[in-house]
Amino acid sequence: MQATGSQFDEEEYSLRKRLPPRLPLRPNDVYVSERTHFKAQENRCQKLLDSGNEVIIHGLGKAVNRAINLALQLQTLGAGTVQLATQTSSVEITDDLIPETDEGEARTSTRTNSAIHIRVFRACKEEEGQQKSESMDQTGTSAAASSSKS
Amino acid sequence: MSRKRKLEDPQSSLPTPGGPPYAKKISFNQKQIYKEAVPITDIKVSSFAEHRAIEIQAMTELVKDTGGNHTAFQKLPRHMRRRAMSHNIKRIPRRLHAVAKQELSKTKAPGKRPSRRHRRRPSNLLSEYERRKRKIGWLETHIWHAKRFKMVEKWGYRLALHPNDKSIRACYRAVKHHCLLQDVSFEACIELKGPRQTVLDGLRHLTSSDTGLTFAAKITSNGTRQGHLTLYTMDSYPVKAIGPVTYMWRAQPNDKDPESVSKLNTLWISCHPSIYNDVWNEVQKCFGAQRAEDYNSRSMESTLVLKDEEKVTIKSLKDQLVKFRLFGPASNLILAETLKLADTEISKVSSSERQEVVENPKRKSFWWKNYYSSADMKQRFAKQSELWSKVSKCQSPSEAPPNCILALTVRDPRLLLPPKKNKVKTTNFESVTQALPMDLFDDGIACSPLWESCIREELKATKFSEQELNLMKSKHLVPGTPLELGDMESRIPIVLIQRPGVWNSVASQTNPSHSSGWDLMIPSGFAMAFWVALVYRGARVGGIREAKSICLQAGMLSPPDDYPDSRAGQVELKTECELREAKHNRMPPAKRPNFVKLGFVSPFSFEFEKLTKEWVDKWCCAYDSKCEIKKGIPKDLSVMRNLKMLRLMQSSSKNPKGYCKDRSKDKTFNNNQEQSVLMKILSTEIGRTLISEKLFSLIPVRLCILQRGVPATYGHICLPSQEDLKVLDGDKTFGGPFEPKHKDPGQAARKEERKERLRLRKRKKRGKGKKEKVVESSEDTKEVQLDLEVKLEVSEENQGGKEVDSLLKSTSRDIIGFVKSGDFDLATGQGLGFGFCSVAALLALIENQKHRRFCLALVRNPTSLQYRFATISLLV
Repeated sequence: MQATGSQFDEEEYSLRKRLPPRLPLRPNDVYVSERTHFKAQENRCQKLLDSGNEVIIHGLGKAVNRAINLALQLQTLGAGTVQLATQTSSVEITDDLIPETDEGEARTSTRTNSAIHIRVFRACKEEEGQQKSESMDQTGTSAAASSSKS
Repeated sequence: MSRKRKLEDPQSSLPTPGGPPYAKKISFNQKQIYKEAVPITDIKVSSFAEHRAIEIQAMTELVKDTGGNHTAFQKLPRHMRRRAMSHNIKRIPRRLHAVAKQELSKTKAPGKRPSRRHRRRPSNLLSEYERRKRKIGWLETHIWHAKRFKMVEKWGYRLALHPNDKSIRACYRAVKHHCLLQDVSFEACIELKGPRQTVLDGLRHLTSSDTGLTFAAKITSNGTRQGHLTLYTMDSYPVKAIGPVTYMWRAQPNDKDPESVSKLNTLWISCHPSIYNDVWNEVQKCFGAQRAEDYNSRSMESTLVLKDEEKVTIKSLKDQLVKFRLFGPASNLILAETLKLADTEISKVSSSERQEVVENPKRKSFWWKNYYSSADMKQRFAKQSELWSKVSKCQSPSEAPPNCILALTVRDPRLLLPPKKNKVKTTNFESVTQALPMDLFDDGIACSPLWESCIREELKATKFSEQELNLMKSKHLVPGTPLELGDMESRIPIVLIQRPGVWNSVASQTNPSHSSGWDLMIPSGFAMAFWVALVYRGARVGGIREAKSICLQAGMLSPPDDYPDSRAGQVELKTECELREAKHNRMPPAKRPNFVKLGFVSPFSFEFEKLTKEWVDKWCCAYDSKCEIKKGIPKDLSVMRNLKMLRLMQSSSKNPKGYCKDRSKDKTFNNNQEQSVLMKILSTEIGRTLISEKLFSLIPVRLCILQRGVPATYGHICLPSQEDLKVLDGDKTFGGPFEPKHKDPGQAARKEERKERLRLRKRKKRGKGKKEKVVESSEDTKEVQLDLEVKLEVSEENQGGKEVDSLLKSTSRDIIGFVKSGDFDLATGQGLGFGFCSVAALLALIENQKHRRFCLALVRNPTSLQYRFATISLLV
């Protein structure tokens, strides 16, 4: 949580975190937070999975663990029909340093945080599932692009 | 005379049967009699008649006037009345026809009210509205609101309180997931123009650097950010606050040195209407306006010449700017849909349209042609557009830098209105947004033509009315095609100001972007155009109630009633108090709480002065030896806003246990000495000043209820006893202790009086049968009742007087503060409150709980004996 690479006096600046930039929000994107009830998240994902055969779970920073846990839970519930494709990325996050004295300049510090994007999907055939996961690897950074193809 | 009569009797009796044959005879006889009559000597006729004339006249008048102020036929006895006599004169008895006719001619039938259709015609409706508006201020969106909202008169305006539909939860959801919109055009703006340093020197009297940033802050000086601060009456910090204001400097990117001393610069100070007059007067005073008429609030502009021939112009922009406040993550999206950038190049229009346009005499000059003529301005506009395209793709307003100002020039939103109202959906499905580059936010971004009053005037004058637009639309061959006005279209300069939302100290508890959004400033006259456009994109509209609940959740203070040390705040609190008391007194005693039994000394007011005084006294008794305290009771109430002291208090109250440990590590403390928060606080310089000077102040606190219960206004915040905390530690579901029921010393007396009253009432009823006794007995009862009322009042007052002596001893747990407002927080699903505590009391609470991880307080509502546990945190 410390702003990396920049030294500032605690007395003169207060730190305010901006929201991280988000990936696009489609109906089957689920952003996992630490605060939401786990069971509720699980139910929500299960519903989306049942209706569309595909959910993409995003977790940032502290919520990475939770996202993985959620995805694994969905997999076990699916009893072998559900597959996972995982991507990791780094998200650039900006913190604002707001001066508390009149002389202070406004400053920002950027840091990176790790994020995870898990595609949970039900493959009808074995090949199709493989194809999808391959395409996912090709697209690299954005999980969004792969899902829009499918 | 009697003899004479006797003589005449047989003759006079003759004509009584009456008949024409005798008529002559009678008259003859009478003549004879008169001739023969003996002149009366006993009575002088003239004087006799004179004496009685007045009586007779009075009597005749009385006889004539029977029936009072009624028309002729109304005076008729009941059996002679007929239906519809007033309609048809022939139904009235003939002898009254003349009178009735006369009366009818006098009365003129009232003029017929014009038909509703006539009254509702736009021009007539408007004149009616103008008439109503004169008494009290209306916002431009008033009529839209009046159809859908509960309207109240507040702060010189008629404002929307809350929507008429059932919408508390819907509004919360709008803030959380979508967009809530509020019209805050009532916020008044004051423009100061003068050399920068002179302006700053003048305004220095109103602010203090202790409370954070001032007008001189470097971060706001180039006009890229809005600043906010609390103003104080001239040179009277830390007492006599005026209230919170926001301000922005005009961006002047052409100047190489914005800090230069003699540069002319403009400052806009925007404040709540309740404090507007105070701010206006104080600002005038700062620049040396001595006479009362100089800073008359009615005058809109005043130029003050200071000693060095330096001019400072103060101008009121009240009601000249429109401000809309958007909350919630989708406000970016809605604004992106509504605000389409205007084309500032001179465009080519087809000849027919141009002709049509030329006929219109309204528009002669195009401000934007002049304004954007230079390459510099064009470049700036391009930059603004580029940034806006980036910002509008963000998922939430809190991705932009806090309080940043972004100026744009946009098209008339009426031409881009969607045919139907619906919610906008996310537009960018594909692109992944990156963090906004900071270097884009330079001074050019905030440079706006909105600051020029002549441009605002011109815009207003050249605006197409709704009717004209519709007329033009109706000429389209294909209905529904958008209007292309080309040069004729208004280019509207707007300013967007980001609000970061949740208060910093609260951010860790909730979603940090909660209630973040944009303030949209537009020139007056265009409010409805933008308003409808925003609403058509799915923004939900809220009123004052919604704004207050957002403030409570976000840990922000809402002016003016959250500023009890300001004049406007005190007025607001007083009216609120009177309203509540009146409502309470309207209820019958059995249907209202007995506050004596509940142990509430002041159920309708905040006894801040008494509270602080009693706590300081208590403090002096306990710690007099350890620290020095400034003696003498200050006259005015003060709220602690010293940022450093608040930080100190916050760090100690957040985690008292950790605070103790942390400090003892740092400084080589004697291990034998018992750890005490007070000693740690006293070990710092700022702590010593805090304790010597600020014990009398109040401090705003936030209360999160642990389990059940919702705090209510005028509730008590109390100090939990060690036993309470022990029970809570043992049993996590412990709901809280109870206040023992108080004795009502007046109750027995009141019961007796009631009995007596009932008895008398019964006697009165019985007495009605016997007529002769009625008068006497009723008088009796009246007297007795009067007696009773007097007695009752006396007894009640006595009770009050007895307990008012000591606030702290009035309840079993010591009161440390009062709840200002409380509500159910839909985000956490628990009660949430905001209140004020005495600083001395809060220090005592922290000291009491120095072994705990977080501070707990007890909260009790005025209608209940149940205390509830709540975590207490400061709003820094």
